[in-house]
Amino acid sequence: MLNHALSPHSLQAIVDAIEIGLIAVDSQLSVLCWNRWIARHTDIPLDTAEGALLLDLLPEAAGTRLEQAVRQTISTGLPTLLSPALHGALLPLYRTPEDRQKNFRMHQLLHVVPIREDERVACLIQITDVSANISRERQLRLQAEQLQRASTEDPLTRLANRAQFEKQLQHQFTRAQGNHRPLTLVFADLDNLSEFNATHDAAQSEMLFAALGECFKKMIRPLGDLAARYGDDRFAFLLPAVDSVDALEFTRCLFQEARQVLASAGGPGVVFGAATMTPTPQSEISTLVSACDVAVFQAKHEGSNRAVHFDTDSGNFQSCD
Amino acid sequence: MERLSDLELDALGEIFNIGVGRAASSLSLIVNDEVLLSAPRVQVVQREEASAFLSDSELSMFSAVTQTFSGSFDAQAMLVFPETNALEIVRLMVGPHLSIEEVSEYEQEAMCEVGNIILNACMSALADLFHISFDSTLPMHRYGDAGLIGLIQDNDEHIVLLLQVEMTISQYRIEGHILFLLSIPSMQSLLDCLNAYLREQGLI
Repeated sequence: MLNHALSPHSLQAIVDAIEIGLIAVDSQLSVLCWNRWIARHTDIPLDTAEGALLLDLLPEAAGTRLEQAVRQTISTGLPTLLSPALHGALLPLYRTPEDRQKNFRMHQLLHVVPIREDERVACLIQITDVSANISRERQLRLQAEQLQRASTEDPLTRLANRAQFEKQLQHQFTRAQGNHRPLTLVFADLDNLSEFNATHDAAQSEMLFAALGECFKKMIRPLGDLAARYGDDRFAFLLPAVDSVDALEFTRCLFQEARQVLASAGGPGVVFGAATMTPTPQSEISTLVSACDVAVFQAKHEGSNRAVHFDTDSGNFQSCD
Repeated sequence: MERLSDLELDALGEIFNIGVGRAASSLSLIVNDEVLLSAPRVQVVQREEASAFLSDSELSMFSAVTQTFSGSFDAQAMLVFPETNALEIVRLMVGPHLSIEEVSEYEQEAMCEVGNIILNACMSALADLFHISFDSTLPMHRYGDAGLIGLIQDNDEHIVLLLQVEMTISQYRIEGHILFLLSIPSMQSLLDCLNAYLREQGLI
Protein backbone atom coordinates (compact mmCIF):
# COMPACT_ATOMS: atom_id res chain seq x y z
CA MET A 1 0.00 0.00 0.00
CA LEU A 2 2.90 2.29 0.72
CA ASN A 3 3.53 2.56 -3.02
CA HIS A 4 0.20 4.22 -3.40
CA ALA A 5 0.77 6.82 -0.68
CA LEU A 6 1.00 10.36 -1.98
CA SER A 7 4.33 12.08 -1.79
CA PRO A 8 4.35 15.57 -0.25
CA HIS A 9 5.13 16.76 -3.74
CA SER A 10 1.98 15.32 -5.30
CA LEU A 11 -0.08 16.49 -2.32
CA GLN A 12 1.13 20.01 -3.06
CA ALA A 13 0.21 19.49 -6.71
CA ILE A 14 -3.33 18.56 -5.69
CA VAL A 15 -3.63 21.54 -3.39
CA ASP A 16 -2.55 23.75 -6.27
CA ALA A 17 -4.78 22.09 -8.84
CA ILE A 18 -7.97 22.38 -6.82
CA GLU A 19 -10.48 25.05 -7.86
CA ILE A 20 -11.03 26.28 -4.33
CA GLY A 21 -9.01 28.83 -2.42
CA LEU A 22 -7.07 27.28 0.44
CA ILE A 23 -5.36 29.27 3.17
CA ALA A 24 -4.01 27.54 6.26
CA VAL A 25 -2.88 29.60 9.23
CA ASP A 26 -1.37 28.66 12.58
CA SER A 27 -2.57 29.90 15.96
CA GLN A 28 -0.64 33.16 15.43
CA LEU A 29 -2.51 33.61 12.13
CA SER A 30 0.74 33.15 10.16
CA VAL A 31 0.17 31.63 6.74
CA LEU A 32 1.17 27.95 6.43
CA CYS A 33 -0.48 27.21 3.11
CA TRP A 34 -1.51 29.48 0.25
CA ASN A 35 -2.57 27.56 -2.82
CA ARG A 36 -2.33 28.61 -6.43
CA TRP A 37 -6.03 29.50 -6.65
CA ILE A 38 -5.76 32.01 -3.83
CA ALA A 39 -2.49 33.41 -5.20
CA ARG A 40 -4.18 33.94 -8.57
CA HIS A 41 -7.28 35.62 -7.21
CA THR A 42 -5.57 37.80 -4.60
CA ASP A 43 -2.61 38.62 -6.84
CA ILE A 44 -0.36 37.77 -3.89
CA PRO A 45 2.24 35.09 -4.75
CA LEU A 46 3.07 32.20 -2.44
CA ASP A 47 6.58 33.57 -1.69
CA THR A 48 5.09 36.74 -0.25
CA ALA A 49 2.33 34.97 1.60
CA GLU A 50 4.14 32.09 3.26
CA GLY A 51 4.97 32.92 6.86
CA ALA A 52 3.32 36.35 6.64
CA LEU A 53 0.45 37.33 8.92
CA LEU A 54 -2.97 36.79 7.38
CA LEU A 55 -4.19 40.23 8.42
CA ASP A 56 -1.12 41.89 6.87
CA LEU A 57 -1.86 40.15 3.58
CA LEU A 58 -5.59 40.75 3.71
CA PRO A 59 -6.14 43.79 5.93
CA GLU A 60 -9.80 43.83 4.77
CA ALA A 61 -10.41 40.82 6.99
CA ALA A 62 -9.38 42.61 10.19
CA GLY A 63 -12.26 43.18 12.57
CA THR A 64 -14.68 41.21 10.42
CA ARG A 65 -16.53 37.98 11.12
CA LEU A 66 -13.78 36.19 9.21
CA GLU A 67 -11.08 37.20 11.68
CA GLN A 68 -13.43 36.31 14.53
CA ALA A 69 -14.27 32.95 12.92
CA VAL A 70 -10.59 32.07 12.41
CA ARG A 71 -9.73 32.91 16.01
CA GLN A 72 -12.76 31.01 17.30
CA THR A 73 -11.98 27.96 15.17
CA ILE A 74 -8.44 27.92 16.54
CA SER A 75 -9.59 28.30 20.15
CA THR A 76 -12.66 26.03 20.06
CA GLY A 77 -11.74 23.56 17.31
CA LEU A 78 -15.22 24.00 15.81
CA PRO A 79 -15.87 24.68 12.13
CA THR A 80 -17.52 27.88 10.90
CA LEU A 81 -19.36 28.85 7.76
CA LEU A 82 -19.59 32.35 6.31
CA SER A 83 -22.35 32.64 3.76
CA PRO A 84 -22.37 35.01 0.80
CA ALA A 85 -25.92 36.01 1.80
CA LEU A 86 -24.63 37.67 4.94
CA HIS A 87 -21.16 38.73 3.83
CA GLY A 88 -21.30 39.11 0.04
CA ALA A 89 -17.76 39.65 -1.12
CA LEU A 90 -15.80 39.84 2.08
CA LEU A 91 -12.27 39.37 0.73
CA PRO A 92 -10.75 41.33 -2.16
CA LEU A 93 -10.80 38.42 -4.59
CA TYR A 94 -11.32 38.99 -8.30
CA ARG A 95 -12.11 36.52 -11.04
CA THR A 96 -10.25 38.45 -13.74
CA PRO A 97 -7.84 41.42 -13.94
CA GLU A 98 -10.70 43.43 -15.51
CA ASP A 99 -12.87 42.70 -12.49
CA ARG A 100 -10.01 43.87 -10.29
CA GLN A 101 -9.81 47.16 -12.18
CA LYS A 102 -13.53 47.67 -11.82
CA ASN A 103 -13.33 46.57 -8.19
CA PHE A 104 -15.92 43.91 -8.91
CA ARG A 105 -15.34 41.29 -6.24
CA MET A 106 -16.09 37.60 -6.46
CA HIS A 107 -18.94 36.37 -4.25
CA GLN A 108 -17.53 33.97 -1.71
CA LEU A 109 -18.65 31.12 0.42
CA LEU A 110 -16.15 30.54 3.22
CA HIS A 111 -15.62 27.47 5.34
CA VAL A 112 -13.27 27.88 8.28
CA VAL A 113 -12.33 24.47 9.64
CA PRO A 114 -9.87 23.27 12.27
CA ILE A 115 -6.86 21.11 11.42
CA ARG A 116 -5.56 19.25 14.41
CA GLU A 117 -1.96 18.21 14.58
CA ASP A 118 -1.01 16.65 17.90
CA GLU A 119 -2.25 19.13 20.48
CA ARG A 120 -2.14 22.15 18.23
CA VAL A 121 -5.01 23.45 16.18
CA ALA A 122 -4.33 25.20 12.92
CA CYS A 123 -7.06 26.55 10.74
CA LEU A 124 -7.95 26.05 7.10
CA ILE A 125 -9.96 28.67 5.25
CA GLN A 126 -11.67 27.30 2.15
CA ILE A 127 -13.03 29.81 -0.30
CA THR A 128 -15.53 28.85 -3.00
CA ASP A 129 -16.43 31.18 -5.84
CA VAL A 130 -20.22 31.40 -5.91
CA SER A 131 -20.51 34.42 -8.24
CA ALA A 132 -22.19 32.27 -10.88
CA ASN A 133 -24.87 31.06 -8.45
CA ILE A 134 -25.37 34.56 -7.16
CA SER A 135 -25.87 36.12 -10.57
CA ARG A 136 -28.22 33.32 -11.58
CA GLU A 137 -30.11 33.87 -8.36
CA ARG A 138 -30.17 37.57 -9.04
CA GLN A 139 -31.67 36.97 -12.49
CA LEU A 140 -34.29 34.64 -11.10
CA ARG A 141 -35.05 37.14 -8.37
CA LEU A 142 -35.44 39.92 -10.90
CA GLN A 143 -37.90 37.89 -12.92
CA ALA A 144 -39.81 36.77 -9.86
CA GLU A 145 -39.84 40.36 -8.66
CA GLN A 146 -41.32 41.63 -11.94
CA LEU A 147 -43.97 38.95 -11.92
CA GLN A 148 -44.82 39.62 -8.34
CA ARG A 149 -44.93 43.34 -8.87
CA ALA A 150 -47.45 42.93 -11.65
CA SER A 151 -49.78 41.00 -9.39
CA THR A 152 -49.38 42.92 -6.15
CA GLU A 153 -48.65 46.52 -7.10
CA ASP A 154 -50.77 49.45 -8.18
CA PRO A 155 -49.00 50.68 -11.35
CA LEU A 156 -49.84 54.37 -10.87
CA THR A 157 -48.65 54.86 -7.29
CA ARG A 158 -46.25 51.89 -7.07
CA LEU A 159 -47.90 51.08 -3.74
CA ALA A 160 -49.46 47.71 -2.94
CA ASN A 161 -52.78 47.03 -4.64
CA ARG A 162 -55.99 46.20 -2.84
CA ALA A 163 -55.61 42.42 -3.15
CA GLN A 164 -52.15 42.57 -1.61
CA PHE A 165 -53.43 44.82 1.14
CA GLU A 166 -56.29 42.48 2.02
CA LYS A 167 -53.85 39.60 2.18
CA GLN A 168 -51.48 41.47 4.49
CA LEU A 169 -54.35 42.73 6.63
CA GLN A 170 -55.46 39.15 7.22
CA HIS A 171 -51.89 38.09 8.00
CA GLN A 172 -51.12 40.96 10.38
CA PHE A 173 -54.48 40.66 12.11
CA THR A 174 -53.84 36.99 12.88
CA ARG A 175 -50.36 37.86 14.10
CA ALA A 176 -51.65 40.64 16.34
CA GLN A 177 -54.19 38.20 17.79
CA GLY A 178 -51.38 35.76 18.46
CA ASN A 179 -48.96 38.16 20.12
CA HIS A 180 -51.53 40.43 21.81
CA ARG A 181 -50.15 43.54 20.18
CA PRO A 182 -52.07 46.46 18.72
CA LEU A 183 -52.70 46.92 15.02
CA THR A 184 -53.45 50.27 13.41
CA LEU A 185 -55.32 50.77 10.16
CA VAL A 186 -55.45 54.14 8.39
CA PHE A 187 -57.63 55.16 5.45
CA ALA A 188 -57.04 58.32 3.44
CA ASP A 189 -59.84 59.47 1.11
CA LEU A 190 -59.30 62.11 -1.54
CA ASP A 191 -62.13 64.65 -1.65
CA ASN A 192 -63.88 65.40 -4.91
CA LEU A 193 -61.39 63.62 -7.10
CA SER A 194 -63.76 63.83 -10.04
CA GLU A 195 -63.65 67.66 -9.90
CA PHE A 196 -59.86 67.55 -10.00
CA ASN A 197 -59.96 65.15 -12.94
CA ALA A 198 -62.42 67.39 -14.77
CA THR A 199 -60.13 70.41 -14.56
CA HIS A 200 -56.78 68.64 -15.04
CA ASP A 201 -55.55 66.34 -17.79
CA ALA A 202 -54.68 62.67 -17.38
CA ALA A 203 -50.93 63.32 -17.15
CA GLN A 204 -51.41 65.76 -14.26
CA SER A 205 -53.59 63.27 -12.46
CA GLU A 206 -51.01 60.53 -12.96
CA MET A 207 -48.28 62.79 -11.64
CA LEU A 208 -50.32 63.55 -8.56
CA PHE A 209 -50.83 59.87 -7.78
CA ALA A 210 -47.18 59.06 -8.39
CA ALA A 211 -46.17 61.88 -6.01
CA LEU A 212 -48.58 60.63 -3.35
CA GLY A 213 -47.27 57.10 -3.74
CA GLU A 214 -43.70 58.27 -3.30
CA CYS A 215 -44.62 60.40 -0.30
CA PHE A 216 -46.47 57.55 1.44
CA LYS A 217 -43.70 55.07 0.77
CA LYS A 218 -41.24 57.44 2.41
CA MET A 219 -43.44 57.91 5.46
CA ILE A 220 -43.95 54.30 6.50
CA ARG A 221 -41.41 52.07 8.21
CA PRO A 222 -39.78 49.99 5.50
CA LEU A 223 -40.28 46.80 7.49
CA GLY A 224 -43.71 45.47 8.36
CA ASP A 225 -45.75 48.57 7.48
CA LEU A 226 -47.74 48.61 4.28
CA ALA A 227 -49.15 51.45 2.20
CA ALA A 228 -51.66 50.58 -0.51
CA ARG A 229 -53.95 52.10 -3.08
CA TYR A 230 -57.20 50.67 -1.80
CA GLY A 231 -59.60 52.18 -4.30
CA ASP A 232 -59.77 54.95 -6.92
CA ASP A 233 -59.65 57.70 -4.35
CA ARG A 234 -58.74 55.76 -1.20
CA PHE A 235 -55.35 54.86 0.26
CA ALA A 236 -54.85 52.44 3.13
CA PHE A 237 -52.04 51.92 5.63
CA LEU A 238 -51.36 48.95 7.84
CA LEU A 239 -49.16 49.51 10.88
CA PRO A 240 -48.42 46.44 13.01
CA ALA A 241 -47.61 46.93 16.70
CA VAL A 242 -48.51 50.64 16.57
CA ASP A 243 -50.63 51.71 19.54
CA SER A 244 -53.09 54.61 19.76
CA VAL A 245 -50.49 57.13 20.94
CA ASP A 246 -48.14 56.41 18.04
CA ALA A 247 -51.04 56.06 15.62
CA LEU A 248 -52.16 59.63 16.43
CA GLU A 249 -48.70 61.00 15.79
CA PHE A 250 -48.18 58.96 12.65
CA THR A 251 -51.56 59.93 11.17
CA ARG A 252 -50.84 63.56 11.93
CA CYS A 253 -47.51 63.42 10.05
CA LEU A 254 -48.99 61.46 7.18
CA PHE A 255 -51.86 63.92 6.92
CA GLN A 256 -49.54 66.95 6.86
CA GLU A 257 -47.25 65.43 4.23
CA ALA A 258 -50.19 64.44 2.04
CA ARG A 259 -51.66 67.93 2.36
CA GLN A 260 -48.40 69.44 1.14
CA VAL A 261 -48.18 67.14 -1.87
CA LEU A 262 -51.82 67.78 -2.75
CA ALA A 263 -51.59 71.53 -2.25
CA SER A 264 -48.50 71.87 -4.46
CA ALA A 265 -50.33 70.04 -7.26
CA GLY A 266 -53.43 72.17 -6.82
CA GLY A 267 -55.05 68.89 -5.94
CA PRO A 268 -58.15 67.86 -4.06
CA GLY A 269 -58.62 67.85 -0.29
CA VAL A 270 -58.11 64.77 1.83
CA VAL A 271 -59.53 63.23 5.01
CA PHE A 272 -57.77 60.68 7.18
CA GLY A 273 -59.40 58.14 9.44
CA ALA A 274 -57.36 55.84 11.66
CA ALA A 275 -58.35 53.03 13.99
CA THR A 276 -56.29 51.07 16.51
CA MET A 277 -57.26 47.75 17.98
CA THR A 278 -55.61 45.07 20.10
CA PRO A 279 -57.48 42.09 18.71
CA THR A 280 -58.42 39.13 20.88
CA PRO A 281 -58.92 35.65 19.40
CA GLN A 282 -62.64 36.50 19.18
CA SER A 283 -62.13 39.80 17.31
CA GLU A 284 -62.94 40.09 13.64
CA ILE A 285 -61.17 42.02 10.94
CA SER A 286 -64.43 43.62 9.85
CA THR A 287 -64.62 45.37 13.25
CA LEU A 288 -61.29 47.07 12.67
CA VAL A 289 -62.20 48.02 9.10
CA SER A 290 -65.60 49.39 10.19
CA ALA A 291 -63.93 51.36 13.00
CA CYS A 292 -61.61 52.92 10.44
CA ASP A 293 -64.60 53.73 8.22
CA VAL A 294 -66.30 55.37 11.19
CA ALA A 295 -63.19 57.51 11.78
CA VAL A 296 -63.21 58.57 8.11
CA PHE A 297 -66.91 59.37 8.36
CA GLN A 298 -66.30 61.44 11.50
CA ALA A 299 -63.48 63.31 9.76
CA LYS A 300 -65.68 64.05 6.73
CA HIS A 301 -68.42 65.15 9.06
CA GLU A 302 -66.05 67.74 10.55
CA GLY A 303 -65.25 69.11 7.09
CA SER A 304 -62.63 68.66 4.40
CA ASN A 305 -58.95 68.23 5.28
CA ARG A 306 -59.41 66.63 8.65
CA ALA A 307 -57.90 63.60 10.35
CA VAL A 308 -59.53 61.56 13.09
CA HIS A 309 -58.33 58.60 15.11
CA PHE A 310 -60.64 56.05 16.74
CA ASP A 311 -59.45 53.73 19.50
CA THR A 312 -61.66 50.64 19.37
CA ASP A 313 -60.46 49.47 22.77
CA SER A 314 -61.61 52.63 24.60
CA GLY A 315 -64.18 53.82 22.04
CA ASN A 316 -62.62 57.31 21.96
CA PHE A 317 -62.36 59.63 18.95
CA GLN A 318 -59.53 62.10 18.78
CA SER A 319 -58.73 64.50 15.99
CA CYS A 320 -55.15 64.56 14.77
CA ASP A 321 -54.97 67.20 12.07
CA MET B 1 -32.81 8.29 33.56
CA GLU B 2 -32.98 10.19 36.79
CA ARG B 3 -34.31 13.72 36.79
CA LEU B 4 -31.91 16.63 36.82
CA SER B 5 -31.77 18.63 40.03
CA ASP B 6 -32.73 22.31 40.03
CA LEU B 7 -29.09 23.18 40.58
CA GLU B 8 -28.04 21.17 37.53
CA LEU B 9 -30.74 22.73 35.38
CA ASP B 10 -29.84 26.23 36.54
CA ALA B 11 -26.16 25.63 35.87
CA LEU B 12 -26.86 24.31 32.36
CA GLY B 13 -29.11 27.29 31.74
CA GLU B 14 -26.37 29.69 32.81
CA ILE B 15 -23.75 27.99 30.69
CA PHE B 16 -25.97 28.09 27.60
CA ASN B 17 -26.71 31.73 28.30
CA ILE B 18 -22.99 32.46 28.20
CA GLY B 19 -23.02 30.68 24.84
CA VAL B 20 -25.94 32.56 23.34
CA GLY B 21 -24.47 35.81 24.67
CA ARG B 22 -21.31 35.18 22.65
CA ALA B 23 -23.40 34.22 19.65
CA ALA B 24 -25.30 37.50 19.95
CA SER B 25 -22.11 39.51 19.69
CA SER B 26 -21.08 37.59 16.55
CA LEU B 27 -24.50 38.18 15.01
CA SER B 28 -24.30 41.88 15.94
CA LEU B 29 -21.00 42.09 14.09
CA ILE B 30 -22.68 40.76 10.95
CA VAL B 31 -25.74 43.01 10.96
CA ASN B 32 -23.94 46.06 12.33
CA ASP B 33 -26.73 46.49 14.82
CA GLU B 34 -27.40 45.11 18.26
CA VAL B 35 -28.69 41.56 18.21
CA LEU B 36 -29.93 40.18 21.52
CA LEU B 37 -30.27 36.52 22.32
CA SER B 38 -31.58 34.86 25.41
CA ALA B 39 -32.32 31.27 26.30
CA PRO B 40 -34.22 31.63 29.53
CA ARG B 41 -34.95 28.02 30.41
CA VAL B 42 -33.60 24.51 29.87
CA GLN B 43 -35.95 21.57 29.86
CA VAL B 44 -34.95 17.94 29.76
CA VAL B 45 -37.43 15.89 27.76
CA GLN B 46 -37.70 12.64 25.82
CA ARG B 47 -37.33 12.84 22.08
CA GLU B 48 -41.03 12.16 21.45
CA GLU B 49 -41.99 14.90 23.87
CA ALA B 50 -39.69 17.35 22.08
CA SER B 51 -41.23 16.65 18.70
CA ALA B 52 -44.71 16.81 20.19
CA PHE B 53 -43.74 20.10 21.82
CA LEU B 54 -42.68 21.57 18.49
CA SER B 55 -45.59 20.11 16.53
CA ASP B 56 -47.97 21.55 19.09
CA SER B 57 -47.11 25.09 18.19
CA GLU B 58 -49.51 26.50 15.62
CA LEU B 59 -46.92 26.51 12.85
CA SER B 60 -45.81 23.09 11.79
CA MET B 61 -43.19 23.83 9.14
CA PHE B 62 -39.70 24.43 10.42
CA SER B 63 -36.38 25.73 9.29
CA ALA B 64 -33.71 23.75 11.11
CA VAL B 65 -29.92 23.78 11.21
CA THR B 66 -28.13 20.76 12.59
CA GLN B 67 -24.56 20.04 13.57
CA THR B 68 -23.24 16.84 15.09
CA PHE B 69 -20.72 17.31 17.87
CA SER B 70 -18.46 14.58 19.16
CA GLY B 71 -16.00 14.50 22.02
CA SER B 72 -16.33 13.76 25.73
CA PHE B 73 -19.97 13.28 24.88
CA ASP B 74 -21.78 13.31 21.54
CA ALA B 75 -24.68 15.54 20.75
CA GLN B 76 -26.76 16.29 17.75
CA ALA B 77 -27.47 19.98 18.07
CA MET B 78 -30.33 21.65 16.30
CA LEU B 79 -31.55 25.21 15.99
CA VAL B 80 -35.20 25.20 15.00
CA PHE B 81 -37.36 28.14 13.99
CA PRO B 82 -40.88 28.04 12.63
CA GLU B 83 -40.46 28.73 8.92
CA THR B 84 -42.03 32.20 9.05
CA ASN B 85 -39.71 33.23 11.89
CA ALA B 86 -36.67 31.97 9.99
CA LEU B 87 -37.66 34.03 6.96
CA GLU B 88 -38.05 37.03 9.21
CA ILE B 89 -34.55 36.57 10.63
CA VAL B 90 -33.07 36.29 7.17
CA ARG B 91 -35.00 39.32 6.00
CA LEU B 92 -33.77 41.38 8.95
CA MET B 93 -30.20 40.21 8.42
CA VAL B 94 -29.92 40.22 4.64
CA GLY B 95 -31.98 43.26 3.82
CA PRO B 96 -35.32 44.62 4.95
CA HIS B 97 -36.02 45.79 1.40
CA LEU B 98 -36.38 42.22 0.12
CA SER B 99 -39.75 40.60 -0.36
CA ILE B 100 -40.48 37.33 1.41
CA GLU B 101 -40.09 35.44 -1.89
CA GLU B 102 -36.63 36.88 -2.38
CA VAL B 103 -35.65 36.23 1.19
CA SER B 104 -36.49 32.55 0.89
CA GLU B 105 -33.76 32.23 -1.74
CA TYR B 106 -31.19 33.17 0.86
CA GLU B 107 -32.77 31.23 3.67
CA GLN B 108 -30.73 28.07 3.47
CA GLU B 109 -27.25 29.50 3.58
CA ALA B 110 -28.02 32.41 5.87
CA MET B 111 -29.75 30.14 8.39
CA CYS B 112 -26.79 27.74 8.17
CA GLU B 113 -24.55 30.54 9.29
CA VAL B 114 -26.88 31.78 12.02
CA GLY B 115 -27.30 28.22 13.31
CA ASN B 116 -23.57 27.59 13.12
CA ILE B 117 -22.86 30.67 15.23
CA ILE B 118 -25.43 29.83 17.89
CA LEU B 119 -24.72 26.09 18.13
CA ASN B 120 -20.93 26.51 18.15
CA ALA B 121 -21.25 29.17 20.84
CA CYS B 122 -23.38 26.94 23.07
CA MET B 123 -21.11 23.93 22.71
CA SER B 124 -17.92 25.93 23.14
CA ALA B 125 -19.35 27.45 26.33
CA LEU B 126 -19.79 23.90 27.62
CA ALA B 127 -16.30 22.97 26.41
CA ASP B 128 -14.67 26.00 28.08
CA LEU B 129 -16.25 25.49 31.47
CA PHE B 130 -15.90 21.70 31.46
CA HIS B 131 -12.30 21.87 30.12
CA ILE B 132 -13.13 19.52 27.26
CA SER B 133 -13.22 19.87 23.50
CA PHE B 134 -15.46 18.84 20.64
CA ASP B 135 -15.25 18.11 16.97
CA SER B 136 -18.13 19.04 14.77
CA THR B 137 -19.56 18.62 11.31
CA LEU B 138 -20.38 21.70 9.29
CA PRO B 139 -23.96 22.91 9.64
CA MET B 140 -26.71 21.48 7.49
CA HIS B 141 -30.03 23.15 6.80
CA ARG B 142 -33.32 21.28 6.61
CA TYR B 143 -36.82 22.43 6.00
CA GLY B 144 -39.99 20.56 6.79
CA ASP B 145 -42.21 19.31 9.57
CA ALA B 146 -40.93 17.78 12.80
CA GLY B 147 -40.38 14.44 11.03
CA LEU B 148 -38.55 15.86 8.05
CA ILE B 149 -36.11 17.92 10.05
CA GLY B 150 -34.88 14.70 11.59
CA LEU B 151 -36.35 15.04 15.02
CA ILE B 152 -38.22 11.77 14.81
CA GLN B 153 -35.54 9.70 13.22
CA ASP B 154 -34.41 6.39 14.62
CA ASN B 155 -35.55 4.18 17.43
CA ASP B 156 -32.61 4.87 19.72
CA GLU B 157 -33.58 6.30 23.03
CA HIS B 158 -32.51 9.91 23.21
CA ILE B 159 -32.70 12.60 25.82
CA VAL B 160 -33.28 16.13 24.58
CA LEU B 161 -32.09 19.32 26.20
CA LEU B 162 -34.63 21.81 24.97
CA LEU B 163 -34.01 25.54 25.16
CA GLN B 164 -36.38 28.24 24.13
CA VAL B 165 -34.45 30.99 22.44
CA GLU B 166 -35.49 34.56 21.84
CA MET B 167 -33.69 36.65 19.27
CA THR B 168 -34.15 40.41 19.04
CA ILE B 169 -33.00 42.16 15.87
CA SER B 170 -33.92 45.80 15.18
CA GLN B 171 -36.58 45.62 17.90
CA TYR B 172 -38.19 42.56 16.35
CA ARG B 173 -38.50 39.62 18.70
CA ILE B 174 -38.27 36.19 17.15
CA GLU B 175 -38.72 32.91 18.97
CA GLY B 176 -37.21 29.53 18.26
CA HIS B 177 -35.72 26.51 19.96
CA ILE B 178 -32.32 24.96 20.47
CA LEU B 179 -32.27 21.20 20.93
CA PHE B 180 -29.43 18.95 21.96
CA LEU B 181 -30.13 15.28 21.34
CA LEU B 182 -28.00 12.99 23.47
CA SER B 183 -27.88 9.23 23.86
CA ILE B 184 -28.26 7.91 27.42
CA PRO B 185 -24.49 7.32 27.86
CA SER B 186 -23.72 10.78 26.43
CA MET B 187 -26.24 12.37 28.76
CA GLN B 188 -24.56 10.59 31.64
CA SER B 189 -21.14 11.91 30.53
CA LEU B 190 -22.57 15.41 30.28
CA LEU B 191 -23.92 15.13 33.81
CA ASP B 192 -20.54 13.85 35.05
CA CYS B 193 -18.85 16.87 33.49
CA LEU B 194 -21.51 19.17 34.93
CA ASN B 195 -21.11 17.75 38.42
CA ALA B 196 -17.33 17.99 38.22
CA TYR B 197 -17.79 21.65 37.25
CA LEU B 198 -20.24 22.27 40.12
CA ARG B 199 -17.79 20.68 42.57
CA GLU B 200 -14.99 22.81 41.18
CA GLN B 201 -17.15 25.87 41.79
CA GLY B 202 -17.80 24.68 45.32
CA LEU B 203 -21.52 24.45 44.63
CA ILE B 204 -21.86 20.81 45.66
